[in-house]
Amino acid sequence: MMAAAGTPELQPGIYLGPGAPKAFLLAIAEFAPGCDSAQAGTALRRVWEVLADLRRGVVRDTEATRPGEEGARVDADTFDALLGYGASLFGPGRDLTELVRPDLLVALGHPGGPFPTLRWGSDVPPGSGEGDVCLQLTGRDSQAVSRAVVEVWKLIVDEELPLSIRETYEGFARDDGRSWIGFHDGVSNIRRSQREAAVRCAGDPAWNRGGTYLAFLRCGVDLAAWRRLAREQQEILVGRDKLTGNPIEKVEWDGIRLHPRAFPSPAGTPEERDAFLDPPETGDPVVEASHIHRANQNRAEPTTPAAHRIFRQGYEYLDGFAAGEPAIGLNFVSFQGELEHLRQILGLAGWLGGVNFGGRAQRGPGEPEPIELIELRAGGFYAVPPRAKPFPGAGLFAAT
Amino acid sequence: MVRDAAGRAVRFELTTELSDYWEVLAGYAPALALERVAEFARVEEVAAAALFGDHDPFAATSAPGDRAAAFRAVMLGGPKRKKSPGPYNNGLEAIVCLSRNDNKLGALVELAAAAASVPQLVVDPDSEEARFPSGSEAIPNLPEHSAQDCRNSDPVVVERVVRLATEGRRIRFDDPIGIYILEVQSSQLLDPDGESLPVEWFRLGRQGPPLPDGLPRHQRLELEIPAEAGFSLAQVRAARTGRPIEHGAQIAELVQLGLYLRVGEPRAVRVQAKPRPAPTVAACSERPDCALEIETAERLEGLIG
Repeated sequence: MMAAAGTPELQPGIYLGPGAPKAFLLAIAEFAPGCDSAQAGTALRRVWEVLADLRRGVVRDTEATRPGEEGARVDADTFDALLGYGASLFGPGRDLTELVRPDLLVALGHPGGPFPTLRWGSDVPPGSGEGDVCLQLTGRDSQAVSRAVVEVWKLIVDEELPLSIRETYEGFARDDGRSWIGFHDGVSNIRRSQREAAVRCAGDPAWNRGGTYLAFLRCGVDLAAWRRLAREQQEILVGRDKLTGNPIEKVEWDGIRLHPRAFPSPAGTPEERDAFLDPPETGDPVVEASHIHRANQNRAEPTTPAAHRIFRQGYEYLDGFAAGEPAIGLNFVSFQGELEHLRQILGLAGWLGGVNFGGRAQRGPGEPEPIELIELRAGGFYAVPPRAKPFPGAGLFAAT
Repeated sequence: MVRDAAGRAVRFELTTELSDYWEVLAGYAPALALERVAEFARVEEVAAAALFGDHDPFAATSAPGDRAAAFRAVMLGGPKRKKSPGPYNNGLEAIVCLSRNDNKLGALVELAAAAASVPQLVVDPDSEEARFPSGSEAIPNLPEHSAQDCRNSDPVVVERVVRLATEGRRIRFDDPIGIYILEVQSSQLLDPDGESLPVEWFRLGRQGPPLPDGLPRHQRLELEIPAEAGFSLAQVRAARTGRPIEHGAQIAELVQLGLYLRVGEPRAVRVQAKPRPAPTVAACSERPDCALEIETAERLEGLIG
């Protein structure tokens, strides 16, 4: 979607239109102790230059070094890079920037929280996913994004830049439109015509006007626990039929178990077709407590503050096996004009702050046992300034 | 926010009570109204003049309408509510009820009724499919002045109610009608050690006898740090910003309000909504209704100080 004339452009890597690259990698980086603002700005400028070269197919190590030879090239335009700034950049005593920290750009907090029902995994080191800078790489395939982050590392080493990549988190898009738990995912994402307004930062603080905020939550999924639930119980928690994706209309109790009843597949009327994406209000408290109803309370415009509209752009991950089980989950990535909205979505008890994933906190007969399906493996909030020369957010740093 | 002599925040109070109730209470039971206000202000008694001005609510010649009018003049900023509400309703001594003109019962009824009476569908510009409109898309199609965009409440209410109406459902207000406090995110306020404040420090009140549905219907919230805690409200920090609490808005944003409607099954009423092109919803900064709303909010903030 094109920005209006005069409006700063969002950085690449935010896919408001149809389709998104298949591969994802988020690198978390920190400036070295004692690094000053000008040195930090120079380091990022160099990183951005090298990434720009790589996007054109230029790899530093295979540049021509001997007379008469040509540098070896790789495919161009295989990835997008997006730069974000974390709360620690603004920390007292860092002297990395004189500009003001956005109010809600804070560390997620450890070991408590950060959200009432989305808690850190017990073995997650403090600060996982948080850093001065994040570099989101999205691309054609795993090779494209992995190569990009390694090229950045080479640059840091070669030029002794005061920057280190502390962590990376990889992910991929599935081609079946489903998540690890086997259900449709992203169906209720904010509609395309509302996305631009949902992600744009209106200008508080001014340096991020026209940019956005990225929220990264690496959510580990307890797939073994999920698979122990019967299909009906899974559907009650999700709020959709597992196969068709049709929203659950009501549940029926036969004295032994609850049976979810889904709406029929979308038929002719506009209301029925829209209801697939946006299920209607329900008077059934069990259905109302399902994940899709909790996460999508309304379809108001993003300009309505209480609507809490965000744009989600998540990528699944598999992080090997641990104790004989796959360490899988979702790299939840959202872009929003204000971090307040995600805070509210994950904080309000009637939304996702009341239970982990879905269901009722006070369950009735036949309702699924409370399940701790999701735990936080890493996470951070980042300000994502609009595109700029020589790199996004260059104004944060002292000129060199 | 109630402050001490040094200007530090010591107590937070929030009300969702409609002024219509209080006008009736003041009109027909002035002694009870004074008693309630004294409770809110945490004083033994409140002089009648604090609520009724020069009007003596206990004079033999005083009629309910006179008392209500006097109450309106003092506590709600006059008949057009353009002046500052009195100190017992502006937070200096107490906060009793909502005082904005567009926060009255009539405005609430008009808002929901208007939305319920105009079924709507729009054609999405991207998918070219008909869909239910957002609040901002639906409001221009409603009777003039029945709903205002650029507020927290109106677009959300309109979006939900228009959809219910378009689905052909019967809709009525819940009884008793009101604006209720649904929840408070108490975990988002931290003591000096970084722990969440105990839930019991948040006192919810002004709820009638609980109804069988068990839904919360509180209309008043107070937060005060007990003396034995060893710290004050001014030392509490907001988890989401890391900053100390200085303004009531920092706590108010953790409170969710709601309006209850009773709704029947879809297709109970035959409705026809011809899909129309979805109007373009301009950015807030480009819309005169938003500018008006911001101006009103700033004016009221100025009046209250």
